[in-house]
Amino acid sequence: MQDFALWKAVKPGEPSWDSPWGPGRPGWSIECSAMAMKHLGVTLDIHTGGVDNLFPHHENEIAQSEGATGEPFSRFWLHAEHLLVGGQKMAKSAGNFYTLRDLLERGYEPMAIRHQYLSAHYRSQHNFTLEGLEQSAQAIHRLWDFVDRLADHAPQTEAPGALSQEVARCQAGFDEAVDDDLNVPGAMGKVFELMREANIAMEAGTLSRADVATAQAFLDRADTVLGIIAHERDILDADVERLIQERVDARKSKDFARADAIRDELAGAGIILEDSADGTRWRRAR
Amino acid sequence: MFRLLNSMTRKKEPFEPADGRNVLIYTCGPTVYGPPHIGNYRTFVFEDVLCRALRYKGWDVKQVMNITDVDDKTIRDSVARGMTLTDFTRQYEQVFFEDLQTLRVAPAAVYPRATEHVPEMIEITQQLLERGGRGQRLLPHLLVSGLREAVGRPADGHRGALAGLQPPGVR
Repeated sequence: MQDFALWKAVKPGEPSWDSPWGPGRPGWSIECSAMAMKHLGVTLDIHTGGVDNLFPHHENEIAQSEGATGEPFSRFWLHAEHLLVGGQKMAKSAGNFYTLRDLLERGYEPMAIRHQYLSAHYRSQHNFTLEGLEQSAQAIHRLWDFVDRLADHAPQTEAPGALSQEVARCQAGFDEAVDDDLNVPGAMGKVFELMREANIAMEAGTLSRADVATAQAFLDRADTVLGIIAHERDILDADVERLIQERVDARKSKDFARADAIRDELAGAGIILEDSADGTRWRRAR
Repeated sequence: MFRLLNSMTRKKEPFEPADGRNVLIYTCGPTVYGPPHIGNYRTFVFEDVLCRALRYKGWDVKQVMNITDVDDKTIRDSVARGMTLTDFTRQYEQVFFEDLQTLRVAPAAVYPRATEHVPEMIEITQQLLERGGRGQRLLPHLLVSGLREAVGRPADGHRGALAGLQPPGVR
């Protein structure tokens, strides 16, 4: 381990704070040690970051925190791999550098971008391309169309049919994937698998009322992890206002799961919420 | 059983929170000196899905994500723009929070700013000096050395295990 700066002396014209070692500012890694321990206590359950933070930043954090407290700093460390763009590390000079805003200005959908992220395991390098992003947009729209058709479907029978068994199988596969070091691509695959099976059953007219309810319950559950399925069809201003009020009420009664679900639903419909001391304002994205 | 690959041991280990109920998780946040790029958001979306999965498993999650609003880059660029550090960094903090919402990232419990925790950082530095980390007054900065020894048991495979290792293998 190399030595590193805990405190940097002030340079002329720079902001500074007083300390026993004279005016200056903290080193980078001490920042995370201090804020983690202040808000979470001396030992964390999990500490995460990008793989480029592994060394030296996280190594320094451990040394500082454990040196100061004598206790283990974090029980688990998780690191997300790099995103490559067009097969290369992103660099302004390589012409493959995108901010999120760059992609939104080009008309790409936020949920297509999220789908791209979810389609690779966090410990694998992921090659991001605009072609891949377009495929993600198509996948998301197929999924949303399916969710709409499922909601509109008028089944002829009541009792659980073959699809209910498919749902149980996909649910088990989904849970197994989540449990296996957060295999999100695998979990998301089960949602698309169910979509294919349910589409076939809808075409064939073999879907029962119980099948629809079971499938919808699975999709809702899966979406609490994935956050890409919920969406609204052409949401009206009045509906937005109503949902915002419902979210306010949910928060008041400490039903945060419901409040989060409403926020996700609105985000899916392209509604951006701005919480402030004066209440919640909203606007449409783009 | 919910298992995670622990970079510390490079093994998949069963995970549950230490107290059996509440997961305490710290996620390295953005340095607010410009709009984050799509590589940064890969990590933030991964952390979002991790927290969602932990809730899905039935635990309560307390996520803390820091905002680095003082470092070499924020100072360099705020000076270049002739802005105060606060005015300069707050505009990108705003961009970051809007982007999170756009990507449907569920908010963390706390987003502490580095500039608002300087006393705590000074306190840890003092503790380190008292507990045997050999502080070196290498002017103009205060460096620290001997921390590995201060932490102790450097050979037990845990302490210091992140250093110098290749990133964990890809599945």
